Amino acid sequence: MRIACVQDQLSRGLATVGRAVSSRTTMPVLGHVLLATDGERLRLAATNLELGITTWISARVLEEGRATVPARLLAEFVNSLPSGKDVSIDGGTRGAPLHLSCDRISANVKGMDPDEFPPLATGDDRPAVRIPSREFRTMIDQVAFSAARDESRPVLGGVNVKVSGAQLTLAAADGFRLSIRHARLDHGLPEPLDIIIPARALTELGRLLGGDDDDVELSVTGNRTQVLFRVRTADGETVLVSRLLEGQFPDLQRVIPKTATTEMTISRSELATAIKIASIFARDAANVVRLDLQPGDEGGVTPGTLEITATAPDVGDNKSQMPAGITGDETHISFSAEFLSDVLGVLKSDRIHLKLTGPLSPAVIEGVGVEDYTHVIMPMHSVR
Amino acid sequence: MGRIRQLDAEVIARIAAGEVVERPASVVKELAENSIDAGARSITIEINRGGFGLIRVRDDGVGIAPQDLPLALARHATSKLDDADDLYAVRTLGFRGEALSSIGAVAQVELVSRPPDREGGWVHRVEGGITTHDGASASPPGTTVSVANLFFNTPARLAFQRSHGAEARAIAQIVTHLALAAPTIRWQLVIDGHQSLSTPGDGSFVEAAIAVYGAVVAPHLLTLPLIDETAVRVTGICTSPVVHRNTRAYTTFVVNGRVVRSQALTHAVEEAYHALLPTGRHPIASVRIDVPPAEVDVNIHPTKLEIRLQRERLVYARVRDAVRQAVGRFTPSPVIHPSVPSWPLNSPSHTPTPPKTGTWGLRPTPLLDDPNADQGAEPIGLVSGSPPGGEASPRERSGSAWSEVLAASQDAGIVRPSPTASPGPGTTPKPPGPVARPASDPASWRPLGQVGLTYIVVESPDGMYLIDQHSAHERIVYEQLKRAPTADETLVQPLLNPDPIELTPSQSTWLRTNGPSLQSFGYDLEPFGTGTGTETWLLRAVPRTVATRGRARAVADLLDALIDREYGDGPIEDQTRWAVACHSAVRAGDSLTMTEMVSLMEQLSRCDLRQTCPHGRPTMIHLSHTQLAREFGR
Repeated sequence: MRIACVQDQLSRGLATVGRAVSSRTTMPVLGHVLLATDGERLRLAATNLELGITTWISARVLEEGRATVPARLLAEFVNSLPSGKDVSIDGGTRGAPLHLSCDRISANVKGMDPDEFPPLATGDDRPAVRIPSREFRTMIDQVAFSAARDESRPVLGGVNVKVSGAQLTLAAADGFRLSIRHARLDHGLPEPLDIIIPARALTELGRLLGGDDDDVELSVTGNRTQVLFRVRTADGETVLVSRLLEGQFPDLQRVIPKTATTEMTISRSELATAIKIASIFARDAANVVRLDLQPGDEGGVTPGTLEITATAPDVGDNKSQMPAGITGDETHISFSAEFLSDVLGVLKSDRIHLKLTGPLSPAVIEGVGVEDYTHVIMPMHSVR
Repeated sequence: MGRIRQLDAEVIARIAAGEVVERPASVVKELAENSIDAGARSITIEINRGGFGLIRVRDDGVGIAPQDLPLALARHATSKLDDADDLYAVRTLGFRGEALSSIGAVAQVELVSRPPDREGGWVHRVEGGITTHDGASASPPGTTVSVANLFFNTPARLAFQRSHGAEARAIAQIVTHLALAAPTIRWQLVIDGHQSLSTPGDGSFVEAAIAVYGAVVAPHLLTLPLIDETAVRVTGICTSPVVHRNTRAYTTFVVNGRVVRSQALTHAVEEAYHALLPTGRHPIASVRIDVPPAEVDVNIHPTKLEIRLQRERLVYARVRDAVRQAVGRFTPSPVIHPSVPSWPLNSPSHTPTPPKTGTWGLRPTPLLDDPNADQGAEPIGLVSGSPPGGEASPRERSGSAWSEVLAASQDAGIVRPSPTASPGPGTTPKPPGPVARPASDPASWRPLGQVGLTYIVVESPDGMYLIDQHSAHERIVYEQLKRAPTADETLVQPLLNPDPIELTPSQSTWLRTNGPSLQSFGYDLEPFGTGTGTETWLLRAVPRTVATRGRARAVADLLDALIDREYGDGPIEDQTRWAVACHSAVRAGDSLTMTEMVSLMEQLSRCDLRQTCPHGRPTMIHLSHTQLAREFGR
């Protein structure tokens, strides 16, 4: 292989695929990055076998070939090279050292046989869904955090992605809370799609999604075992491929309460601040905050009052009071402070709705005027 | 007439009986050993009313010829010994010729026997040493001895006997030991009409151990490496350090086929496990030792339970090495430290069972874009799968012997909190040894990071600490649970949609009886349906402390631990509190954020006994500035 490319592009490409480099030592090749010529481009790829990222940068290809070299070493070296200069790369065939030179700096990097690098899917002609990058990134932010972090039910560690007609739905639940987000698509798929993607893969995808005008394409490989995201940006093209989780995702719609006995409308930022203060004390008391909702009078002349308390037996306690539009029954309910903070952090609207049905039933949180996102949290209660 | 006179034969017989026949269990032992000596392939033992009603031992051994039957019941009559020289090379279990006659002196004994080569059997009955019947009888090949109304003629002895239940337990224990000692024999024990033990008799130590100790220990059984040197042969099984019991009754020694009690050998096994087990806990082990018969003196106690070994130190070392190798294969000890020898990289976490690739274990799909994906799937499954099962899990890779750390800490003067706290709820640790200093307040400590996702490295004003994240969190949860009844509430986090959990029949049974005690700690489970071999339950709520960690796995492990009585025999609430603490605590292998580590330190600082976990294992190791300086030669 003999090529030349620009330092900035190479550096950015290595950073992109670096997210998929594995730190496990059981398969050394997974700590490596694959460099391969691909027409008039250089293809960079890395995988941890759960997730793979491939990206292309423009290059002058003098001689075709492939090489596999340690990812971190190469990235660190390339990052330190002078910006804007050409980097010429040659060697690497059948595990021979890769020779890099830039300006008056050169290096030889020993690698592995590129044939050992696992083959990665980079796309086929399967039908794809096209979603604006920015919107998809918001969807991921609003849903992926609700996925389970433990492995007791693997499907719950994933995000359920459905395409039905022109509607795209992302849903996740860890057993204690759930998030569902809908979006309209310009074009749907010929047949409905219902897959479970590991939350971590989507979080990584979110990092790759940036620009306003960019799109991301989602497709499923022929054997329906992997999902493939193609991200096109001004800089070039990146493909992220992830395994799919097998299994049946629970029907979350069934769990969302349809009615409420107490409804509250409140400023998102005020509530978030109060929860943040309460969690200083809550973290020493199983992370519990208590919300006391006192409705206003019938005509709505005086608003209701929300009181937030956290009590840690050995530490102390804290109380915040704020006016809030509360209708329905007076209610006292306890939540995990972490769960509340998480959802308040991803809601976009200034004012939010909290819908409750007594202290033991799931609570619904939505943005005021927002119909495409629903979050549900199960409250806590005491044994006695 | 003089005051001293010769006692009559009957009195002498009863006195002798007193030595051998202490209690029903000793009758069972003597009779079963006779059956083993008779070359039986199958031995069935029935008892009623703790053996006071009836003891019947039936075997398919060589049998006794009719003319020998009366002699068998006579004192010092035996087929096992010819002359005094034989006494020093005893290969049979019995030899004194005392057992049957002694039993015959204090009970109603019926002996029915037929050598396999004869047409019919013969029966001989004795009551209080006097023959009451002798005649032909139908009989299967082998010998059946029935002992009824034991101690009917020695009311004083009868008065000092323990309850029927206690005696039945003692008999079960003896038969258990014999079954482990002679795995080639099919053992059956029937207590009051219920079969309580049945072994396959296929010669396998492992099968025998599973039959005796239940399938729960099966995944943890380790076969001892065969050691056969200098005329000492050691074989057997032991368990991995994650399984342990609160008595030594689960350690069995068999010397030349004889079950023996030996403090020295027990110590040898425990030394092999040293500090891999929590304080006060004992391994399950069954060790068979074969030495030349001339080297064993079994004739030092009438019950032959105690023996003398000529090369005891050598045998001791062999047993210790065999067990240590078996345990070591299970927990290889990676060792690195320049001047402190054998510093453990990983140390055992005592979460009792390894993660199960449970019913939820979905097979991960391969990522490779490979037409032959089936072949490619295997190694990928290993890295992308759900909890690591089998050998590779960090917990099992775990640890090295604490003993080495202990030795090292003495050498290097590492201050270690006392690990000697007695286990059990509400325990207080023994005062720390002379080298231990009170730890500074963890709230002022600064966590630096995790080692092997198991230990937290902490900087403190007085040097550094290594904290076992599982033990430390276990202590925290345990104390929180203990405080809960006095604090205003125990918090429950219900689930939005319940998790279905597959439980085994024994787990389900336990849960039906003891469900309420789990519920008071925040677990809410209800039966849902039966599957093939398992039962489905719905997990509706969990204690707040486990809300974020593997809840389904924790429930199954928790139930197993409670069924196994790993947390002692105290009130069920104590056991449950302990088990919940252990199973809801952060595990070795869990990745912790810096915030979580800081919070752990803060909570640890509020614990009353922060230096040990509820099992008595240390939660932290301290390295002072002075020690660090000395280690680096500054």
